Amino acid sequence: MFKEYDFDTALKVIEKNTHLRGGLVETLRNLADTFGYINEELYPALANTFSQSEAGVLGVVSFYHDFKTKPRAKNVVKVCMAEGCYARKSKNMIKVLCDTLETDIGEKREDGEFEIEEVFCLGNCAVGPNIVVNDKLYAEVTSDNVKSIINKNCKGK
Amino acid sequence: MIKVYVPLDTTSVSLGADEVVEEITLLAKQNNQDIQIIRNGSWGLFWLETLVEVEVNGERIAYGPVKEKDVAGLFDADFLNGGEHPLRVGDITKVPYLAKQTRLCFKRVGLVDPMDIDDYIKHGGFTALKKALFASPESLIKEMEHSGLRGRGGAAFPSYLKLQATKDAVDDEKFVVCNFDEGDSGTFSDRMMGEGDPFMILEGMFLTALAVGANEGYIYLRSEYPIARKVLNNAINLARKTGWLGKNIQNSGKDFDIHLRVGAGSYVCGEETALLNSLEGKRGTVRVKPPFPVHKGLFGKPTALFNVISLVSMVPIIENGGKAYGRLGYDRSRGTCPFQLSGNIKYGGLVELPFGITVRDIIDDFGGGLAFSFDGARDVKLVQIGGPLGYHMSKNDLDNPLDYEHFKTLGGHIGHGGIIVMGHDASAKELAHFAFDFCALESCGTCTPCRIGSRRGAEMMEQIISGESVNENIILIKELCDTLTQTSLCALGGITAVPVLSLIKNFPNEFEDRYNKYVRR
Ligand SMILES: Cc1cc2nc3c(=O)[nH]c(=O)nc-3n(C[C@H](O)[C@H](O)[C@H](O)COP(=O)(O)O)c2cc1C
Ligand code: SF4
Ligand code: FES
Repeated sequence: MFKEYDFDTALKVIEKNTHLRGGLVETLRNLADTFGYINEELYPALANTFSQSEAGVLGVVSFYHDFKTKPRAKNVVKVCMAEGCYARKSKNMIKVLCDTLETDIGEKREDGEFEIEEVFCLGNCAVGPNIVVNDKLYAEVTSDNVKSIINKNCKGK
Repeated sequence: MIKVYVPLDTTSVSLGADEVVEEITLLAKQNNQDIQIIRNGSWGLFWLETLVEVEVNGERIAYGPVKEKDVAGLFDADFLNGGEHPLRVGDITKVPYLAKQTRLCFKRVGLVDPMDIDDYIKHGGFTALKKALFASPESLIKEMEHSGLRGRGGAAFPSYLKLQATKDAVDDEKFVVCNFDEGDSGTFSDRMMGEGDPFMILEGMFLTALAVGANEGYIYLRSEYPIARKVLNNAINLARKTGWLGKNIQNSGKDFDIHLRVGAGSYVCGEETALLNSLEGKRGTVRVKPPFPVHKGLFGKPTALFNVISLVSMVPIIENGGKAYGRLGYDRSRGTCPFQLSGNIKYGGLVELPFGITVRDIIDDFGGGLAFSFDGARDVKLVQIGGPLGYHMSKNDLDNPLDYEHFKTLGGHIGHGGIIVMGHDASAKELAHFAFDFCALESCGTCTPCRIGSRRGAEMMEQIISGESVNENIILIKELCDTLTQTSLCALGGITAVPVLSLIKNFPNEFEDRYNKYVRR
């Protein structure tokens, strides 16, 4: 899903965006899309490129939910916590999901295999509850089928 | 060659549309049948997804809901020639759910190939733009005034006033911004539009640019919509290649280009000034107004910022005249609104109608009642309208018509037109807790009551849920709501009280102090 982080590839991503007006968020977006997270060793380069302090860069990184600062788990499961899915009984499913993956909402499992991220509405509210397993969206997820969806899509266990 | 339509829409794909496409392709090959698969948008009848349509003698025959395992049976039934099958729906546009709608914004969604600009033009696309390219800005704004269009992003501000103010602002550079952040839970009309008819969004932005005198536009798309991202990117590239974006468009001497930017999972970045900060590469904090974006918006330049549905509404307005559009609607809410019906409901989907239909009619006539029962109860418990900061109606409120003013009187708002239906398994206390929690999580941090008060609110709700000091906490929560309402810079903190207070008001017995009651007896 994500590339292994390396400094040179990251610099290339940054360089590609130097011409963008106000391009810091877009660049962080591209870095997050590529590696799953923003490595802090990039702050000086980002600060330089977009004419601000490293603290300024950190301020932007920390503001947005999508910008993580630690490498992601091997499998990332996003789960919709919002009202549309709640109305379709997401609560029970979420409990089973956490039990199955042996970790909590917003947490990465110690062995780095799984991570559950909470999101608020995926625009798929009519057919919820919804989860995203490694970028693939699943609708109508119930406490009965959530386990098999995970098993089908995830390496490791 | 037989044309087969299978949506690329997020909902369809989440229900297995890609697998259906693979299976159809495979079996067609095995049966030596020459087919062309077109990935259209969804018609918005989600219980029928994946909806497969086959073009037979120029007419489209629909089958749904199709799962991967149904495909072999469809081939056995000779569906490529419209054969009989239990899943056969027939002409989708004759299904009452769709036939009863007034589709102005969504008239092409489902019908056309969103990846093909020629198909857009073949179905009347760019008619409004061709008219506008040679019209004066004044006349465009006049049509907008006649239409009575008000912003569909939430604030319901008259759109022509925003156009007028941006046009009147004098500067060397102006911008059009499309708010595609669609953060409200229970809403998906922007997404369906972006995935099903992206060129209409570009056309709406271009009309806005002509009215205000801008040469550059930005779309700020939320990151949760990867399919819309792909479709919009393709649309922009095609429009550039075919001379509908760029320099000297269609030899009119007018220049306009559009850039697509993707957000980063922040709800408050849907607020217009936070969005502008985010587009400028900054933290998405809310700016103090004035100055308003129409005067000092993106990069400090005059900016006309609109929601996706406001922008596409401009297309029929310019095409057929503002007066024709303004004839639809109710009271001061003119035109149509794509309502989005979801939650615990049998027939969830997109319902574009003139304002004024009652919530009950939409739930009964379109929604068909609840999908799941709870302890045998199959009646509506509550309906939340207008996103996470929206009013929770009890079933006694359902005869209210959907229009801006009525909802204001009720203490709520229509917002972006999302309608979430819930049954008796939903808990008023949990929902009130969620409202505070969401505010705490998404607060931009500028105002203390929103940043910190929301956390205290969530803690108090936790105490109430576990039965601690219920009455005392409710008094404090009401005070906190008052502070939030009066001292917040933007509507995130400003209307978090709406869901909380409506729940306390409409479901009082869930907030009763069981212990005290026991002592009193
Ligand atoms: C917290 C918050 C979130 C918002 N989210 C959105 C959104 O996702 N999409 C949107 O169009 N407007 C959103 N708005 C409303 C915008 O600030 C703005 O009013 C709107 O985009 C203007 O366009 P319109 O006139 O076409 O409605 C939000 C407002 C607030 C306070
Ligand atoms: S109310 Fe909340 S989100 Fe809005 S400006 Fe204040 S702190 Fe930011
Ligand atoms: S509320 Fe879960 S997808 Fe919209």
